[in-house]
Amino acid sequence: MSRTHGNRVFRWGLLTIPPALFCGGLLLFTQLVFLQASFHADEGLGVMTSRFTWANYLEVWHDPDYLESLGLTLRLAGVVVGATLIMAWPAAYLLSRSSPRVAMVVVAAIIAASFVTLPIKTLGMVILFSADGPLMRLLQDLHLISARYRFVGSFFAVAVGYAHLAISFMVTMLFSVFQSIPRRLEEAAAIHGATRLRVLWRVVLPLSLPGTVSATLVLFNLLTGAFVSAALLGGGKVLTVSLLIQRSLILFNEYGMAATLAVVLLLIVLLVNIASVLLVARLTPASQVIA
Amino acid sequence: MARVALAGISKQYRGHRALLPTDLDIADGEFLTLLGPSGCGKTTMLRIIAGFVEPSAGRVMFNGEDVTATPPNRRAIGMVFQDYALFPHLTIAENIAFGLRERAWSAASIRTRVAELLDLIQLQGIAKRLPAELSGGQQQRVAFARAIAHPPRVLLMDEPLGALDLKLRETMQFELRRLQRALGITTIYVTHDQTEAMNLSDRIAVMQGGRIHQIGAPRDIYDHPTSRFVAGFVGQINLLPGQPPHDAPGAVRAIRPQHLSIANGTGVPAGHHALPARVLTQFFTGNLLHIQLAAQDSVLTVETRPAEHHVTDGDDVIVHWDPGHCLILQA
Repeated sequence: MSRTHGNRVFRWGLLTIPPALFCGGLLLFTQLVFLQASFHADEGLGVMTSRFTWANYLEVWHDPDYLESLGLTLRLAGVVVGATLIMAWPAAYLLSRSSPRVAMVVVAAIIAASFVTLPIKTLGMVILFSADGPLMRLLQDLHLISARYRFVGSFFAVAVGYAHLAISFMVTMLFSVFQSIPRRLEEAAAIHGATRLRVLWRVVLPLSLPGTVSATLVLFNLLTGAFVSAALLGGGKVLTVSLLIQRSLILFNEYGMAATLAVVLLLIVLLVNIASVLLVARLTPASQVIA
Repeated sequence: MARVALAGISKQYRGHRALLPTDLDIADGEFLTLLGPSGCGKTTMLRIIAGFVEPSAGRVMFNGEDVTATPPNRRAIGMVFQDYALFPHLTIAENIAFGLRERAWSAASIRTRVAELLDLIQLQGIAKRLPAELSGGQQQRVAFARAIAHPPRVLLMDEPLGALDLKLRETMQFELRRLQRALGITTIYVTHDQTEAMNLSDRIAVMQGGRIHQIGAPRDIYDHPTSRFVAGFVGQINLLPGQPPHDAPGAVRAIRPQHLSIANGTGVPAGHHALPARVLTQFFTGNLLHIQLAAQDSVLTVETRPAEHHVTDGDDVIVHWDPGHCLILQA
């Protein structure tokens, strides 16, 4: 009985092979191209030596500009994900505990807003925040900022752009995390003596931890590779790794160096993810990880 | 331990009246069951007592103290939920100790109390396990231990046996009754299962359509139901054909299935009322036999011992009863 059941599951499981090949194949192939290119030195004008070399990696390691850019990228993603988490966590919790109609309208609005493509949204922000834009004018008139202050081109501007992208993702992801926590558990905690804050601390927070960590990682990964906000709101002054890669490719035709930067960024992000997953697994009882 | 009093409690949801104005007094240490079909208002009433639902009008009193505006966590209540609602991330010991930690008990007294409760529910040695590793019956006991740990003034139970299979449900009924008696906690129990209500309760409040139809001891409710609804919900009932009693217009005569007898060739005892009937079908349940009859334009069910009557489907028989067993029921 159980064998036929197992076989049937296996045959249906075959259907997952085409999408797995498509996604996995494309991912692996492109990463292999980068990996291979990163071991060849650039000779200028897009030509690479055929000899295997660690030179690109040594250059990244020894050049303070590259290291600074890597640090900036991770710092930017970390700060924005942290700030977004602090803002989105209570909002998503309240949304998941409000009436289904309210929740549906708000989530629909968030999703509808995400249909506006990122460059359009970012350009809107550039206009809003530019030195002669309406917001900066108002702040100048109120003598809150000096006429020489430039918002666009600052770390903060890029962070605001990133956060704008991140917060709607974070709210919708956390919303479904909280929805999976039965309200009964909160009632059980309350009736047995827990205040609202204690219910959050002893029940909601621990039960939402795995989901919160994965939402945070998804956004961290997204933001370390984010390009549009950094390019437009950074005004060429906030050089993240994604911008360096673009410059190496388009401006300097250094394909080897571009590939090296991509591989280094990928490895660092991969390490951050593995470390986080291991940490959460240690904090969470085994049964919950399985569930 | 506490007396519980509801004074003019009602609840409306956007025009829908979930609970009509209701008064209810529950004595200290009493086991009261709210019995009724789904949507009758029993759960709303329980949730108002718990403090999860704010009543549209009326007051909730514990020992004469008005707790209507008191949040659930300060009402000193214990509650067993239908799906147990054990915290999946906490061990059994931590689940049972939940309310004790919220009340800032010392670690040592928590340990003693948890061990005591695990003894009480006869589940020693599972303190370090997680709820998911326990069977339904075991989870139910843990939920009970968590609810009585602090100990509460009032114990609320919302269909706590609903998720268990029949055999286990019967065992747990006697277990619950034993524990409640031993602890003497005022208990309010919600169920739609009349057998459960009869087995467990000191008093039963039969509810329908947002109001209490009748309240009384199980025996009282069974022997002297006042309405058709109560008679039909608590046990089976036959509506007898014929004129309504002249002193109670709109009422009907009814009788329990065990008070009907079949005269199959034998005589009808003196003083009994009788009607000609035809056997429709029979159900054999082991110790009892249920025989369905068509009499005039009614269908009557006779409950009898299998040895007492031998009839075949389609037989013409005489059904008779002692009029002293007749009930007069309001429609």
